[in-house]
Amino acid sequence: MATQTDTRLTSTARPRLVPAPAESGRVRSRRRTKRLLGSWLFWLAIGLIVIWSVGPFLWVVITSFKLDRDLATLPPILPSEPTWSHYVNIVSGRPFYRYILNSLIVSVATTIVCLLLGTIAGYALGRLTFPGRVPILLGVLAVSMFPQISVVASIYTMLQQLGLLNTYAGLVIPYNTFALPLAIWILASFFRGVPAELEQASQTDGSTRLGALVRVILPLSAPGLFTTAILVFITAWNEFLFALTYTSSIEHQTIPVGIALLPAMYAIPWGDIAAASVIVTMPLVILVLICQRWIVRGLTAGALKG
Amino acid sequence: MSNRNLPSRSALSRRTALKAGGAGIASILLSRQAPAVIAQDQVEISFAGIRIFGDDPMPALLAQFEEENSNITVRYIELPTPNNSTEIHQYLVTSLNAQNGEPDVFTQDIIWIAEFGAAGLSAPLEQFGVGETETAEYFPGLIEACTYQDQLVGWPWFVDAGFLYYRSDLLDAHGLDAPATWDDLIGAATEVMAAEENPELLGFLWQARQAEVLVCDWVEFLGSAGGRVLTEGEVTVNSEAAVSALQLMQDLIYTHQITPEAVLTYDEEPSRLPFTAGNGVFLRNWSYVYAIAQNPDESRVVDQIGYQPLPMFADGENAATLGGYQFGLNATSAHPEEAFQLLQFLSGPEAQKTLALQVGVAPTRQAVYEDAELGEQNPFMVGLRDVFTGAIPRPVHPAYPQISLAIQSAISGALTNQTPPQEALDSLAEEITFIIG
Amino acid sequence: MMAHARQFIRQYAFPYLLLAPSLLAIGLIALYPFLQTIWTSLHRASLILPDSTFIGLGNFRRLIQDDGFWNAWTNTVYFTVVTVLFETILGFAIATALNRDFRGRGLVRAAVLIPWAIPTVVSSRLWGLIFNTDAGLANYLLTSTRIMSADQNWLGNPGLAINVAAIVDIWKTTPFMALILLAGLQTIPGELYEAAAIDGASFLDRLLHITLPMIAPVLLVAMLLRTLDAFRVFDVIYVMTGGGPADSTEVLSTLTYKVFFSATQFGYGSALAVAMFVSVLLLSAGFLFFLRDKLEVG
Repeated sequence: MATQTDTRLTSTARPRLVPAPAESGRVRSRRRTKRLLGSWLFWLAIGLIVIWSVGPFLWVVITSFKLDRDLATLPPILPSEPTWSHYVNIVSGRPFYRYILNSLIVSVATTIVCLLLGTIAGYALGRLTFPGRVPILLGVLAVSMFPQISVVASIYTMLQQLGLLNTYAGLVIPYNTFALPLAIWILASFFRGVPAELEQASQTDGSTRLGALVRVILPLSAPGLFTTAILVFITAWNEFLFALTYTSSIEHQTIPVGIALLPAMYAIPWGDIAAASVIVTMPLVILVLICQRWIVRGLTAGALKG
Repeated sequence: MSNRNLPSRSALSRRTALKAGGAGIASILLSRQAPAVIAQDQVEISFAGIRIFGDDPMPALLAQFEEENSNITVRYIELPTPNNSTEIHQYLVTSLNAQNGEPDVFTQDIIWIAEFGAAGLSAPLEQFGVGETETAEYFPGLIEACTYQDQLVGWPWFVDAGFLYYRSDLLDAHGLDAPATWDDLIGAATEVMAAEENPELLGFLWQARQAEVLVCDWVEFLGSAGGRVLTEGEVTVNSEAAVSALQLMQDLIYTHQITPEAVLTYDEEPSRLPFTAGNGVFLRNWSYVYAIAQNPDESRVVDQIGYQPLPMFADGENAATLGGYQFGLNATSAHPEEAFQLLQFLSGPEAQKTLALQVGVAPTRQAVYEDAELGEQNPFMVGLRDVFTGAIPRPVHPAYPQISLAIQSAISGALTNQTPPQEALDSLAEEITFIIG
Repeated sequence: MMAHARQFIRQYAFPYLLLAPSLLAIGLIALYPFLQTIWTSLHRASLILPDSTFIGLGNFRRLIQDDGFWNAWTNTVYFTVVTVLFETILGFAIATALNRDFRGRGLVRAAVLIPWAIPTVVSSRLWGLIFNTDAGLANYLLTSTRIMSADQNWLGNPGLAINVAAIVDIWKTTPFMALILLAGLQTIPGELYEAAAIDGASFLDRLLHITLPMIAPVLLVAMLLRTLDAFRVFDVIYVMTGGGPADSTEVLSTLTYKVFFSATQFGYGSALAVAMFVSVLLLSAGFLFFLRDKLEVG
C-alpha cells in the first residue's frame, strides 16, 4: 500500500522537476485547440471566466466610490459624484489600522508556527518509513475534518483556563487546528519530491539527517515552503468563527470580524464597508498575482497526495 | 461546561508555566494589556461598554469620572455596536461566566437582564443602598426591566423604542392626516402609492428578517391589538389578538401590498435605506433614523418627515417595543463599591445629558427631559418621551434568548406563507410553554 | 550501551520524535476539545442552570425529535450537494480552458484566483448588496435586459435564499477546484489524446474514456475536501441571512452557534456539534470507501 502511494506521488512530482515533457505536450495541445475549437468560442469562454471571477469584486470597487444616499437606487450604475470619502473614513479611523495590525500579527505568527512544526513533521512523514506512517497521515487529515463549530466551545473553555482569551496566542493556537494539518500534508509531499540521491550524498559527507534536511532538502523545497506559507497565511487571514469567538474587543480582533462589526448603532455605512473590503482585499489580490505560480504548485501537491 | 468551580490557582500556574516556557514571542503574544502601574490605594476597574457611534463619547466620560474619583482607574473594553447584539451577548456570557471579576461594570441589552440575573452573574444592587428614592427618578418601565425576582440586577442607561416615521410632504400633498389606526395607514399608503408617479415608491417599511428585530416588530403589532407574549406567566402568544396581529402583518405584504416582500430580508438598515432615499411613505424604526434622515449627505428627505407612535387596531392601543442598553455589575467584581460608583456616575443626570446631546441616545432619567438645553437642541428626543414611557418590554424571562429564537422562526414561517397564522402561533405557544416550563 | 541507545533512537524513535510536537499540538487543540464536547453533550447544562446534570443520551433523544435539527440537516446536505456539484462542473470547465496555452494565461489564472483571496465575510456582504431586492445589481441587470419581468426577492424567498448562499460559496471556492483539476489535467500525457484523435474519437469519447478516468483520483479527492468544507459552512449563512427566512437557510453550523451561544444551552449545543461531526464522519467514510477502489489508498 505504501509503495503504491509512493509510486503515484513520485510520478506526479516529477514533471515539476523535469519540465520538458509537459512543454511539448502544451505545444501539441495548442495546435489541437486551433484545429478543433473555434478560437472565438475559446476566447468567449475565457471572457466569461474572467467576468465571473472579477465582476463582483469590481462592483464593490464601484460601490466604494458612491455617496451613501445613492446606494439605495439603481440606475445609475457608476457613481454620479465619485467620492473618496469612504476611503478617508476607513483610513483615518483608528480602529481599522488596529484590525489590520492584529490580522498581520496573527497570520504571520500562525504561519511561522505551522512552518516550524510542519517542516519537521512533514520531513518525517515525507522522507522516512516507519510503522504507523499511513495511519498518522490519515489521522492528521481527519483532524482537519473536524467541524470548526464542534471544537469552538471546548477550545474556548481551554483558552479561558489558560488565560489566553483576548490574546494573539488565543487565536494563533486554535488556528493550528486547521492550518497545521494543511501544512504537514503539503510539506510532506514537497519533501517527497526531492531525489533521495541528493540527501544520501550529503549524508556520506558526514552531516546528520537533520543537517541534510536543513542544507539539502529545505533549499530544494523552497517553493513548497513558500506555498505553504502563503496558504496558511491566507487561511488565517480569512478566518472568522474563531476570531469572532475568542476575541471580544478591538485590541485583538482581526479584519474579517472588524468588517462584520463596522456599523455604528444600527446604521450600516455601506460605502465604508465597500471601501474597507477593497482595502483589505487589494493586498491579497496583489499577493495572489505575484505568487500564483507557487500557490498553484502548493495546491496541486496538497491535493494529489490526498 | 459551566466553569463556576474553576480552580483559579491552576489556571494561574498554567499561565505562569506557559510564560516561562515560551520565549520572547510568547510574551508578546500573551500580553493582553500593558499591566497598569497602580499606586498604593489606587483601584483599577474594567468597564465593557458598547460602542454607540463611530465617534465614541465614552473615553471622555470615563476620564471625567477618573478625575472626580482620583483613587479609581477605569480600563475601557470596547464592545461592538448594538446591531451586533449576538456578538455582545456571546462576549458577556463567556466573560461573566468565567467568574473572575472582569469586566466589573458592563452594558447589556435590556432583554438579557433576567438571564444574567437568574444565572447569578450580575450583582443585586440593593446591597449598595439604592431603593425607591433612587429608582423613582427613572422611567418605571425600565426599573421593571432591571428587576428580576424582586431584585435590582440591572441599572438604567438609555432607552429606545419603535415608532412610525412618515413623509409629511407626501401626506400633506394628498390632504391626508398622520394615521391613528392600521386601517388609516393602509388607506393612506395605498392612496399615495396610487397617486404618486414613482414606481419605486413603497408604502410601509418595517423589519421581518429572521432576527431579534422581528421579535420587536411582532411585539408591537401584537401590543397594538391588545395582546402580549406572556400574560402573568401564562403563554398568550396564540390569543385572538395575536392571530389578528399576525394576519395583519401578512396582509400588509400580500393583500394590501403596501409592504414589499423584500421586508423578509430587512433588518433596521435595509428598511431605512429606501425611506431616506425618498422611496417610502411610512417606516417603522428606532430613533437613530431621525438624524440620518436630516443629513443631506445621506438623505433625500431632509425636512420632509414626521414621526409619531405606531398605529393601532381600532379596539387596541398604541404600542412600542422597549429597547436600549442598561448597566450591570459583575457579581464577582473584586471592587464592587468602586464599580457601583462608576455605574452611578454613568447613569447620572450629567452623563445622560451629555450622551443625549452628543450622540442622541435617549435618557432614562425623567428629569433630563425637562432640561432646557436638551429641549432646544434635540426637540425630537424630548417629543418621544411619551412613547418611551409606555413602551412594552419583550417577555422578561431568564430563557428569553431561547424564546426569541422560537418567535423568530414561527413568525418568519407565517410571513413567508409556510404556515397559516393560527397554526404557526399554536405551535409557537407549545414551544414557549416547553421552554419556560 | 550508549551507542546502542543512540542507534535505537536513530533507527526507530527518530520519526516519532519528529512527529511528537505536531501530534501533541493537534491532540491538545483539536482532539482534546472534541472529547470535551462529547462529554458536555451528555449533560443537561446551560448558563441559567446552577449545575450541570449527567443525562446520558438525553440530548440526543431530544435531537432526534427536533424538527429544527432535521431542517438544518436537510439544508446542510442540500447546500453541500449543490455547491460541490456546481463547483466541480465549473471548476472542470475553467481547468479545461486554462489547460490550453494562450497569451495572457498567467493573468487569467490570477483573475480566477481572486474570489478565493477575498475573505468570506467580505464576499458575503458584497453578494448581499448584489442580491438586494430594492437596489441590487442582480435585479437591475436581469430586469433591464428583460431576462426577468419583475424583481426577485432573492434573500427573502425561502425557496431562493439558500441557492443565493450557494452561489456565493460556489463563486468563492470554484478557484480551488479549478486549480486542483488543472493540476490533474496537466499530468495526462498528450500522446493519449493524439492516439484518440487518430482513432477518430469524438470530444465526448475523449472526455469519458481518457480525461475523466485519468483525473478520477484527483477529482474525487478534491470533491471529498470540498464536501467536508461545504458541510461546515458558517460565514456565508451567518452574514447573509442569519438562517432566515422561515429557517430556510439554517444549517448545522449556524443552528449550533445559536443554541450554544445565543440560547446558552451548552449541553444541547454540544450534542448538535457532535451530531454534525458524526454526519461528516459518515459522509467522509462513505467517500473514502468509494475512493479505496478508485485510488487503491487506505
